Amino acid sequence: MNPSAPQEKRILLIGFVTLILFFLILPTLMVIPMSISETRYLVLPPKGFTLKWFLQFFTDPRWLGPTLLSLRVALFSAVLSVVLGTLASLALVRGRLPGKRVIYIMLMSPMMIPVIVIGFAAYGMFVRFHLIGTTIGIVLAHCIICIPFSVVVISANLQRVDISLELAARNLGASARQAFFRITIPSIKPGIFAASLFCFVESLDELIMTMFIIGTTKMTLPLRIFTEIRFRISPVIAAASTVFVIVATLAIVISTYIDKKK
Amino acid sequence: MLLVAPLIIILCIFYFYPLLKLFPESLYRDGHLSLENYNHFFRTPLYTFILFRTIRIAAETTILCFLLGYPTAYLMASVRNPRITALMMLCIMLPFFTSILARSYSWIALLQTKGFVNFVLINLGFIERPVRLLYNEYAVLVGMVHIMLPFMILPIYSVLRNIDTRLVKAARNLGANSREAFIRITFPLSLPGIGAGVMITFILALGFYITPALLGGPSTLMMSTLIDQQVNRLGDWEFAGAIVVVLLASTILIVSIFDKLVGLDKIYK
Amino acid sequence: MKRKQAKGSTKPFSGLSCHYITGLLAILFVFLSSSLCLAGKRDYLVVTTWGGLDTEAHRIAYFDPFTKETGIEIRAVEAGSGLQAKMLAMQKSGNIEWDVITGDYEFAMINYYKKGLLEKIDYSIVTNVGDLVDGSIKKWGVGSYVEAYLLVYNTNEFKGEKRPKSWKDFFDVKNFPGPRAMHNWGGPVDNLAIAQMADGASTDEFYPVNYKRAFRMLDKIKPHVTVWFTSGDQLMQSLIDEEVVMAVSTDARAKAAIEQGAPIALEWNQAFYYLNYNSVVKNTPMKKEAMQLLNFMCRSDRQAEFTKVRKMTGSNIRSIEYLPNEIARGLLIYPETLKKVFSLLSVKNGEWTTSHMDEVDEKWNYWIAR
Repeated sequence: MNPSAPQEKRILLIGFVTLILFFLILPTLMVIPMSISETRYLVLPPKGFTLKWFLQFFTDPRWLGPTLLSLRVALFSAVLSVVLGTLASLALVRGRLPGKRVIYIMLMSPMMIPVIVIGFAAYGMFVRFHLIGTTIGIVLAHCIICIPFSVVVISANLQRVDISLELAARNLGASARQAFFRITIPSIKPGIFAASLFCFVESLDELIMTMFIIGTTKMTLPLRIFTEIRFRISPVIAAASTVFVIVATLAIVISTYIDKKK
Repeated sequence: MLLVAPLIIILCIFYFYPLLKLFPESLYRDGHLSLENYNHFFRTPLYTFILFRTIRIAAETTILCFLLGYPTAYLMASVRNPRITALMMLCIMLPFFTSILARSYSWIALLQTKGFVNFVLINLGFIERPVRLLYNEYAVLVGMVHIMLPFMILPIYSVLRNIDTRLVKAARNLGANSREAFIRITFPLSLPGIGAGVMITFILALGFYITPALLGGPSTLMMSTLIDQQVNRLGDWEFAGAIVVVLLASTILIVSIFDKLVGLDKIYK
Repeated sequence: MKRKQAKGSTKPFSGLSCHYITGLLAILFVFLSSSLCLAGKRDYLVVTTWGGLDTEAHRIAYFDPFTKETGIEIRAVEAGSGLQAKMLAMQKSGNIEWDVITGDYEFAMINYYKKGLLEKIDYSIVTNVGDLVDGSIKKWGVGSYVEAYLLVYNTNEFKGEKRPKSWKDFFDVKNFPGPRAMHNWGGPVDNLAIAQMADGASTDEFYPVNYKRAFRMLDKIKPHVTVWFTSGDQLMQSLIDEEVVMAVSTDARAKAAIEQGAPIALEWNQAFYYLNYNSVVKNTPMKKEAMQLLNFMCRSDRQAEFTKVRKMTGSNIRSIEYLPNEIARGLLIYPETLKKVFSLLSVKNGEWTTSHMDEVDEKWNYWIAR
C-alpha cells in the first residue's frame, strides 16, 4: 500500500469537514450583517449601517426582560434535565429494571408527540399545582421537553464506559459511589456537555409549551420574537441572535483558554 | 432502581397521566365510542400520503445528517490540538444560539432568486440566469439538515472521544490497516453515539414545523402542519388525537426497528 | 497508588447518591405543594391581541383610553399560535386566564362558540352598534375591523389598459403572463371562490363549492403560482422584490408594501372582505367589564385611531369622519368602495362554509400537496 495514502485521505477528510463547518456557520454569518441594516426589514446585503437594533434590544424592556427570563429558565431546565436524565440513564443502562425498553421509549416519547398536544394535556395539571405563570412552572414544562435529549445522549455514553474500570476500582476498595464519581462521571463528561447544551438550547427556543404555561404577566424571548414577526420581521431578531452568538463565542474561547492553563 | 424514580414521578404527574386522559378521546366521534377517526385517517388518501412523505423527508434528513455528521465527529475526535477542537466545536454550536426563526430567514435571504447563492453562482459563471432554489423540497432539506446536524455530530463525537485509542493501535500493531481498524474497532464502538444521533434527528425531523412552512412550498406539507390545523383551526381534538396516535405508533415502530439493528453492536463486545 | 487515592476519598461521598435522591424528592415536593393562592375575581381585564403592531394599535386606540374612562386596568397578552387549544384547556381546567379575545375571523369564532368557549354578547351593554358594517352583529361577537382580499398587480409589468381587471384576468396566463402569489394559510375557501369567479360563477353559485370546477381552474394556474405565502410578510417580500407580477392580497398588506416601495396597484373589482370580531371568553369573572370594553371598541373615534396605527379598516362606517381624506378614500368602508365589495359569508348559502370547514381543508390540502 502506498504509505502516503492515509495522509491524502486525511487531507480529503479535512477539506470535506471544513466545507461542512462552513455550511453550519453560513446562516449565522448572514444574520450578523442583517442586524446592522437601517431598513425595518431583514435584508441582505444590509442597507446602511446602524446599531439602533442592538440599542433597542438592550434598552427596551420588551426585549430585555424576556431575554433574561429565557436565559434563567434555560439554565435551570438544563441542569434539572441533565441531573434527572443522568440518574435515569444509569438505571436504564446498568440496572436490572424489568421492561427497560418500554421505559426507554416512554422517556423518549415527549420528543415524538407534538408539543401542542403535550401542552394542552398538561395545562390542567399545572393549574392544579398553581404553576401557571411561575418560573418553576415554565422550567418544569421545559424539562418534559428536554428529558429525551439528556436521556438519549447520556445513556449512549454510559453504554461505552468500560464497566471493567469501575469493577477494578471497586475491587481495589472503592465504594460504588466513589467509583461513580471518580470513574463514571468523568468518562461521560463529553456526553453530559452535549446533553446540557441540547437541553439549554431546546429550552431557549421553546415556544408552544411556554405559551400554555406562561400566564398573563411573563414573556419569554421566543414568544416575543414569534408575536413580533407576525407583523414585521424586524432586525431586532437578528440583533438578538448576534448578541447570543458573540456571548457563546466568548464563552468557548475563554473556556479553552482556562483549560489550557490548567 | 431508585435512580429513575424522581424523573418518573415528575413525568407521571405532568405528562403521562394527562396524556392518558387525552388519548382515549381519539376513540370517540360525536360523543360515541367508535373507530371512525382512525377509519377516516386511513380512508382519506391525504393523510396516508402525507404520513409517508413526512417519514421520507425525515429519513432523508437523517441520512444526510449522518453522512455529513460522522466524518465531522470523527475528525473532531481525532484532532489532538485543543484549539482546533474548540474552533470546530464553536462552528457546531453557533447555529444553536441563532434562533430557528432567524436562521430560516437567513436561508431565505441566501436562497432567494435574487439572493446570495444565485449571485455567487452567476459571478462564478456556473449559471447564466438565477435558479429557483427556494420553496421546494431541496430548500426544506437544506434548512432541516442545517438545524439537525449538530444533534447528530455531538452525540457521535461524545462517544468517539471515549474510545480507547490503544484499541486501534493494538489492532494496527496486529497487522490491520487503517480501514480495517476503523471498520472492526472504531465504527462498532461508536454505534451507541450513532444510535443516539439518528434517534434525535429522525424523531425531531418527523415533527418539524417552522422550517418546512417557511422554506418549502405547499408541496412540503407535513404531519405537524396537519395536526396543527386540526387543533388550532378546526379544534377537532378527537381526530387530532387519532393523527397523533398514528404518528406516535409509526415513530415507535421505526425507532424499534432501528434499535434492533443498532443493538447488533453487542456482538462485538 | 490507585488504592490509596480511592480510599482517601471514601468518606465525603458515602451515602451521597441517597442524599441526592432524597434532596430531589424534597425539592419536588416543595414544587408541587407550593400553593400561590389565585384570586377568584380580579380587578383587571386580560385581552388577547396578535402582538407587535396589533398590540400597539389596540393599546393606543382602545385600552389606554378605556382605562382612563372607567378606571379598569387592561393587560394585553399576545396570543401566539394555539389560541383555540389554550382556550379549550382553560375551560377544561376552569382556570380562565383571559377575558376578551380580539380580531378573529368568523369561521374561527363560530367554531369557538360551538365548542362553548365564548359568552353570548349582551347587547344591552354593547349598544354602539348602529353604524357597523353588515354582518358585524352576531350572538358570539361584534365586528371590529374588516380586511379585504383583492387582486394586486405590478405596475411596471402591466400599464394603462393592459392591466388585469378581474379574477378572470388573474387566471389568464396567456394575456397576463408572469409568476403569481396566492395564500396558503387559514381558510382555503376564498381561493376556491376566486377560482369559481374566474370561471364566471355568480356569487349565488359559490356554495356548496363545486370542487370540480374550482380545482379545474386552479390546476391551470398552479404552475404559475410561484409563491404560496403562509404569512403576510412573505407576501410583502415577494411584492417588494418583484418576485411576482400579480397576487391575491389583503388591502392592508398591499398598502404596507406600497409604503415600502413596491410598484403595485390595487384592483377593487370583485374584491371581498372578511370581518374580524371581538368576543368574550366563556365563564370569565369579568363578564360585565368585558362587554363594556367591547362596546367601547365600537366607537367611531376610537376605531379611526386604530386605523391610523394599524392601517386596518374599522367596522364602524362613521370612523372615516375622523380620518383625513387621503386615508379615508383608500379604505374599504369609503362609500364608493363599499358598494363594490361583498362578504363571502353573506352570499347565498354562506353558512355552508362554516359547517364544511374540515371537508374543504382536506380537499385543498390534498390538491396543494400533490
